[in-house]
Amino acid sequence: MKFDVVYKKRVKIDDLNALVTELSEIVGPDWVSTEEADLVAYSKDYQLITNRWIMENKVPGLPHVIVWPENEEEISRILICANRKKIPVVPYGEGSGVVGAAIPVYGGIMLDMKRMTDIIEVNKQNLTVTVQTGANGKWLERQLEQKGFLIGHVPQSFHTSTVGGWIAHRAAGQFSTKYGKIEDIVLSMRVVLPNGEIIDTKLYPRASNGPQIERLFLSSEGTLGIVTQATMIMWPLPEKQQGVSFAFDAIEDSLKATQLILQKQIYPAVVRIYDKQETERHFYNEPQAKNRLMVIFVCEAPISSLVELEISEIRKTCLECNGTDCGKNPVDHWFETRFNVKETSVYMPKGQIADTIEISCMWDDAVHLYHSVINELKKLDGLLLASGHASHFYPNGVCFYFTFSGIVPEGKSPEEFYNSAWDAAMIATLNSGGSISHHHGIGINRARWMRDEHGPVLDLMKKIKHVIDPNNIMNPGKLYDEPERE
Amino acid sequence: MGLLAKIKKYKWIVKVFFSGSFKDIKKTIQGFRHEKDFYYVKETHVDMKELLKCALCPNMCRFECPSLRVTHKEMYAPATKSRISYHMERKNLDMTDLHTAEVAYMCTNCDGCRNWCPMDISTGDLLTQVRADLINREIYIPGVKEFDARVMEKQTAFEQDTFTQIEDLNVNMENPEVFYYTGCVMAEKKPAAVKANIKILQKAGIRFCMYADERTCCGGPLHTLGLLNSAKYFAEKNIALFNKAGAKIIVTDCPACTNSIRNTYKTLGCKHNYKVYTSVEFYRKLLEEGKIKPEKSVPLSITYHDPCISSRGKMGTIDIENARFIFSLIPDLDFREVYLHGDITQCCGRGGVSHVHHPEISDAIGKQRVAQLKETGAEYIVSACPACEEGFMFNDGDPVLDIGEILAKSLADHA
Ligand SMILES: Cc1cc2nc3c(=O)[nH]c(=O)nc-3n(C[C@H](O)[C@H](O)[C@H](O)COP(=O)(O)OP(=O)(O)OC[C@H]3O[C@@H](n4cnc5c(N)ncnc54)[C@H](O)[C@@H]3O)c2cc1C
Ligand code: SF4
Ligand code: SF4
Repeated sequence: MKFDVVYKKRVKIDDLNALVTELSEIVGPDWVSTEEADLVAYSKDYQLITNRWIMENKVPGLPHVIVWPENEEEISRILICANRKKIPVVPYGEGSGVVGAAIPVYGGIMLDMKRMTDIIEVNKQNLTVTVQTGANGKWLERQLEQKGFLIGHVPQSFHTSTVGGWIAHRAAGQFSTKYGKIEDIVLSMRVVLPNGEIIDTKLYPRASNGPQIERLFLSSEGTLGIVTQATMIMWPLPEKQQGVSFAFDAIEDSLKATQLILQKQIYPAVVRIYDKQETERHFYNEPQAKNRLMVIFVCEAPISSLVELEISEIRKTCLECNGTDCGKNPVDHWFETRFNVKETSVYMPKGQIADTIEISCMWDDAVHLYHSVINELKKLDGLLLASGHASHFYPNGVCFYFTFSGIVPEGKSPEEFYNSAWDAAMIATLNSGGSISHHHGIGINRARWMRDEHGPVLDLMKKIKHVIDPNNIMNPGKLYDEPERE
Repeated sequence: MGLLAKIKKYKWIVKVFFSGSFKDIKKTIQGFRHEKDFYYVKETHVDMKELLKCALCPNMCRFECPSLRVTHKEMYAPATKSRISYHMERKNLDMTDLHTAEVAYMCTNCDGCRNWCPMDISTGDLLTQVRADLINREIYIPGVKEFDARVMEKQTAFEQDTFTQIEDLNVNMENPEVFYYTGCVMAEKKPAAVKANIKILQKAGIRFCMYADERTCCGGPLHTLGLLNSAKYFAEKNIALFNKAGAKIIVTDCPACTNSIRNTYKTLGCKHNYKVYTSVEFYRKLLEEGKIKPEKSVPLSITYHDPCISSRGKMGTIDIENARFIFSLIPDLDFREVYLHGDITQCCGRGGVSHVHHPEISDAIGKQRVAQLKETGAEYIVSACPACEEGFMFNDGDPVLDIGEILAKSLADHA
């Protein structure tokens, strides 16, 4: 192997052949691999620094073996085997996670969920769909759309992520302000625990029946077990969808307008506030947005008059907050370009080191936090771009999504530069009262900030992890502890 | 995009660039200048810059990739195939290892990826280039060398007599204006469609030729497999035949042949000035010019499978509307649109010559498409590509008709 492995703590597996034989007996020989190219394929997720490593002939982590189970029983047997041998297991969806959570930092078994994609039930009366968690988002949308439904969860990675990955990272989609985040959408789930036990949490619209165990698995990043099936809320396709946009001079005004709209109990499906830098980048064709901030809204509902009413209230509020109506063109532009992800492909080979960082905060911290993160990023040597937008909203607060890009300064490694940008953003967020991640998760990247985020509550989390996974086989090196790296 | 629009679009980059310190600007320029270091390799057929772009993408098109959908393995997601290929080309992974090399063939060249790609990249096209590098180094995955030898020996993908097995299906008129170029799959598997196409051309009063006894493979499948020398041999041979025939227009009943003759030949250094049409394009023209008139009732229920090569711009033209136009003129035809159609059509499984090197994958993809088409409840699956049609017939999709057969049914028997 001609690659350097970045995470050096690969466990030693005494008898790999015996492991492969046992796994082959469980899933069949076609569904187990130790081939070099396959291990390399599963060596990374989409944490952006790993793209730099591709070009430097490095792999982030290297699993010992890949396994593709077909059902819960097989997963159960794999986990029993791994537990007995104390071998790490990393669940893998489509590797679009951006915090290194699916990187096999200790090697071990990579357990890919892509064979489990069946729709188990579409219940038109309850408005629920039960699906296996290896299902891809766009694939699921197509299945439901044919039947006249949607799930309303459309992350930008919709085309390249799975239901299991959404649950494991507590993901949030572009239409979340209306339809909710994944935790509002998932009602129940089936989980294979590290000891091989298969549990189903009960399906109910709500209950007062003790702590909600399924909540534990949301944002657990594969560290507590493998979620194999989920029952999710679905909605009839909307009758009407309408968009409108406004330009503002100041971020304060745009946030105020949005806060008022949400607090009037209007829940647009999409709300996006772009700062001046991002407005220039995305809405260069909108004359009224020059040197200003663009805000777009999309409302949709099964009843047309409801949408019209929402749009008219949004318009009234934005105009009252000094916004300028820019009509529908910017919204159309957003719809056309919302999945265009190409910057990293284009600029990373040109030496740029970049990433995106999303955080959340209450309304009263919002303005201060935004400025603070941008200012701290801009102070960094080598940093060329620091910008932000807000794209998920609550009556009580907001999520900001920052982007940075820069060139590695003299005397620093790409990783040092990358980490310094992350540190700057995380410290500014914590100092401003924010939470370190809104929807991308912790993985490897943010693990070093978990103590500051949670304080003693982190110890409780670790205890829960220990009870469920005493041998720490499930995705070690994530969330609670930071792996070592060269 | 015009220059002004480009300036407007990229103004922010210039601003960002000049916002840095002198040191930063210098380093940024260096970054741009050294980009090549990240993708340069000696002697390759591959556009390495594009391959790296694709390798760095989060697989934004993966949901559309049929080979990933049926294999379920991350190695065969579009960007991952590019990443593994990048590592092969950069010698980080061993190309001579057949399991690794195989990645370049786990693709049906359906261009589903390009259809969703924000950078207009086709992983399939990149992998075709990688295959050429493999062949250049004499690395053959099972099936490829054998196929090459067979086509070179028989001169078609099937048998020596593929084009001549049915005597009637060889019309050669004096001073032809059109060369009716039958695909070898059509000739071998669907002679009824060839017959129908002959009928349509005759009804339209076209002077045409077929040269069935001199016909060979178009070379397209060989090019797809990376066998560039063999492909070039057939390109030259076919151009010589066209020159001999003298018709200025070539009409094919296979969009893959259209693509080969229209586009691939040029990339192989074989230039010509023939105008190449698919049968669908040509029939639309004939209908619009009033040369044929669908008069007879065709009370069949059909659904239509858009061949990916015709519906995603690969040939340089798009046949989506042309096919619907033809159906709309046929009396009493009950046309039922399948949910995924047009540019989001699904692969039939036969692309990339997959049935030669990975028949199970090819058939699994074909079966998924047949199931979607059958959901329409239509009696007949209709398409305009013999490879798709053969794939459907093989994977329980019968009855399957070519668009020419449907159109021919609607033309009156009298002259
Ligand atoms: C371009 C781009 C845009 C993005 N946009 C968004 C966005 O809008 N909103 C958003 O929330 N996120 C977004 N993300 C992040 C990412 O797509 C999400 O985190 C997604 O949920 C990951 O899903 P996946 O299937 O790819 O998971 P993977 O990356 O494969 O895995 C992520 C984590 O989940 C675990 N896991 C996977 N499947 C299971 C399972 N069945 N059971 C238990 N654990 C499991 C893995 O071990 C890992 O820890 C984006 C990413 C990219 C690259
Ligand atoms: S073809 Fe385009 S969208 Fe698909 S993986 Fe490659 S770069 Fe990404
Ligand atoms: S051409 Fe088709 S099969 Fe090949 S990578 Fe693209 S989507 Fe997949």
